[in-house]
Amino acid sequence: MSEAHFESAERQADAARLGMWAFLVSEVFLFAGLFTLYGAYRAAWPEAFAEGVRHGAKMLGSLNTVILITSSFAVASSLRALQEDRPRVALRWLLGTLALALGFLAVKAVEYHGHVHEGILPGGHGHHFATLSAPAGQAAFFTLYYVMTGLHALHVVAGAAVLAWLAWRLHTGALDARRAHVLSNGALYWHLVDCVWIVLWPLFYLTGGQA
Amino acid sequence: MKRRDVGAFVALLTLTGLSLGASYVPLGAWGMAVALGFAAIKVSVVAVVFMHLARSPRAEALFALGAVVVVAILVLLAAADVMTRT
Amino acid sequence: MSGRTPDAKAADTGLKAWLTTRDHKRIGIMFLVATTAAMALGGVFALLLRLELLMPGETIVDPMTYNRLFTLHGVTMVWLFMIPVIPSGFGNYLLPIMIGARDVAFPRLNLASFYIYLVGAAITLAGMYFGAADTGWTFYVPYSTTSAAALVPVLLGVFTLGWSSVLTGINFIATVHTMRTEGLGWMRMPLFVWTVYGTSIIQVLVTPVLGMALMLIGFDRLLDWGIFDPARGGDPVLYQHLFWFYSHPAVYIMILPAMGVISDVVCAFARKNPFSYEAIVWSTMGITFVGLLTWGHHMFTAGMSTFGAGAFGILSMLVAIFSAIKVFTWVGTLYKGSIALDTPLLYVLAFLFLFIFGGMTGVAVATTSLDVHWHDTYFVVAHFHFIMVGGTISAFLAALHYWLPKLSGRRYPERLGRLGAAGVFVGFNLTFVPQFLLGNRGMPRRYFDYPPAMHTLNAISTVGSWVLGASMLFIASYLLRSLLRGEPAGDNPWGAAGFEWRTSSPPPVHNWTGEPPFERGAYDYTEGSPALEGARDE
Ligand SMILES: [Cu+2]
Repeated sequence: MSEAHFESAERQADAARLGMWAFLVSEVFLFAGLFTLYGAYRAAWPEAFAEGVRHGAKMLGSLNTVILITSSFAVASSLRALQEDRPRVALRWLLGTLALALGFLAVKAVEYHGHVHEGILPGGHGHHFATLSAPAGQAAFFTLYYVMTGLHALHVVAGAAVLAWLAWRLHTGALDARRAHVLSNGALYWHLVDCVWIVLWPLFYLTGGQA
Repeated sequence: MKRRDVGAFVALLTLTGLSLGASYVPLGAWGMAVALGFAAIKVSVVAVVFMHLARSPRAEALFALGAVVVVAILVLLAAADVMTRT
Repeated sequence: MSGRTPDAKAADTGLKAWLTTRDHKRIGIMFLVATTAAMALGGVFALLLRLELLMPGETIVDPMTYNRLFTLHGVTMVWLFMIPVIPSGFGNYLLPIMIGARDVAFPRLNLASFYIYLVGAAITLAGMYFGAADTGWTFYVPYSTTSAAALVPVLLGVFTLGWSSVLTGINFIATVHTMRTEGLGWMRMPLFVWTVYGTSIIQVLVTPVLGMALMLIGFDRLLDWGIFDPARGGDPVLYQHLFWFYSHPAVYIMILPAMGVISDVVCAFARKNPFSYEAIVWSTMGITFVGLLTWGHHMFTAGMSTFGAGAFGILSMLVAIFSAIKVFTWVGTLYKGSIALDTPLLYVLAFLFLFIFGGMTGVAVATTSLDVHWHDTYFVVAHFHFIMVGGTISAFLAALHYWLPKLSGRRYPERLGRLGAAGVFVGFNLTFVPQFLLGNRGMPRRYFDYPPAMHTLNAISTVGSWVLGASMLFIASYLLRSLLRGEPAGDNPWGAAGFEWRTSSPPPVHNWTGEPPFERGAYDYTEGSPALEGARDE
């Protein structure tokens, strides 16, 4: 049905993978501007940022790190199974990945809810900042926190939607070992979501020492 | 083959635990470097094992590495401006 | 799917067939039509701006309308015309042919990119018109977060246009890597392909950073998040860092493919291989990379540190080295060539003059101490118009004349072409040379008024803009006439050796009937070259 203009199925898979990698690079650069703001603002407000990190939900953030790492392993296993022509096994791993994605979002929701409850909102809004003698640096910290983890959460939602669609295609048999590169691309996207979180985790949950 | 994935998974969990533990050690200014060091290793593990970067065509590895380098330049040059202002 | 074969569908000339096409040639032509229309629109805004500046004091518009007009002019010219025109327009049409492919790697994505462009363009233009955006194309904070104008629609529009740019970039990268015909190694690719490839890399890398910066302004306007607000720990200079991390390389998105056009046209009209193919390739990749490191030169006077200014000043001057390498190789290619002074080559010569002039003044403004004097004056305006109009539009016109026979199978009248080129060159210099002098005397940019002592130079500049506008209109009229009634051109009217001339003009649906004949190189003018089979007018 599709573009018959590739010389071979192999080339088509190559092009799709390369295109996906280029897309992932553009996704990294979507976050790059925010990392720049983080670096510059942390350089300007080292104390306030450390204080902000100490105020964060360290355990929930760490739990989410474990969840996403596990999900990365699960989607890699799903791809492996499909390449070995075991689509039922692949589907089970994929559903597991999906469940972990939803788990991540649930933990995230609890975390956001806690912050809102404490009066911490983006833009230095909320009663928490009224109690601080010098709220400027912490306002910047928590605005970045919401923007960066929020953007990441959006990517988790998008990734979960892709995984769900792939799971449906596996279920109907439309996705089989011959078209494994489609699942491979979905998995690549999911791994990127994982990688971004691996970097966000220390920035917002771990580095509360004097930096 | 599958052993590679399991090995990477265990390594990632271990690194996560170590990184979490290190965050309780008073390292001062080194805290950030250590935390980011762990993150860099973990991202490399995901990229090389799960994303098959080691066995991919050279172009893909070049893209990934190039992206990391350029992001680092962006962050560092902008931060350098902020830090050297008088 | 319809019952007809895909090929029959692709050859269909109905409107619906065009709008649903996946043929890169048709998508390229649609991009060319849309971007050229945008250029006309942006040109009208420019003429209005110049008309206001014909006399000191209020001439035709009040200050606020003037602010809106230069915002409209900048945004339209940058994002609707210059960023997409050569890569998405000519690149789409030519890149697959030049590598012997039947299409781009992802034809559906390609069409999607065009529609995203259209949607983005519509949102941007409507947003600026109804929202009265008055910030200039740079959207600097804090003005952009406090202006009474409605900015969010424009921000959304530019954000959308950015994704069109990214998707086209991704598509071309995958195409160049995986769709080259058998035996076409990297170092045999036409130079235009190299530059479009470099451009694609830049597009993928920097565009998302702009998108994010604009989104942050949107968050501030909609939700009051104040991420660049100093009272909340923010720093407006960081917005400028992010903006210029995109917008400086954006200059290379505009100029690199233009350089590719120049490289190919020079060889065709000197009937020689390039003076050094390798030097052009490596300087292309050099500009691609070093161009990413120079953004800070826009902020010397914005409160950046002395260290930062020094570092960015030196990095910026590096780009001049790569550009100079290119200029030398083009001149070296012309040297002892068998030169035909047809319209495309006239535009190349104009490009060389204007680009050298613009580039040298660029080195001047990259010098921190000098920039303090020239910053935000007409000197800078004149400098970047020399690069963008003098560079990109000259190359665009060269490409239009050179490849018109390829796209349409028809010729334009050579005499009128030369006349148009002369008009553009004279009009351009008349418009922008006085602006260097005005800037040096301290006339700030973006003001609708000036002291009477600056009247003469401003009047000359405005008259120049009329010459330039009239020449463009003249060129458009004879080109349109040629499209409908021009002489048949044959397959290779220039007798060029480029790969794109080795198929019929215009090419068949999948570009090639059989294997692409790529044994001889794209710049091979020696005995037995395919170029010599072409009928060349003397
Ligand atoms: Cu610049």
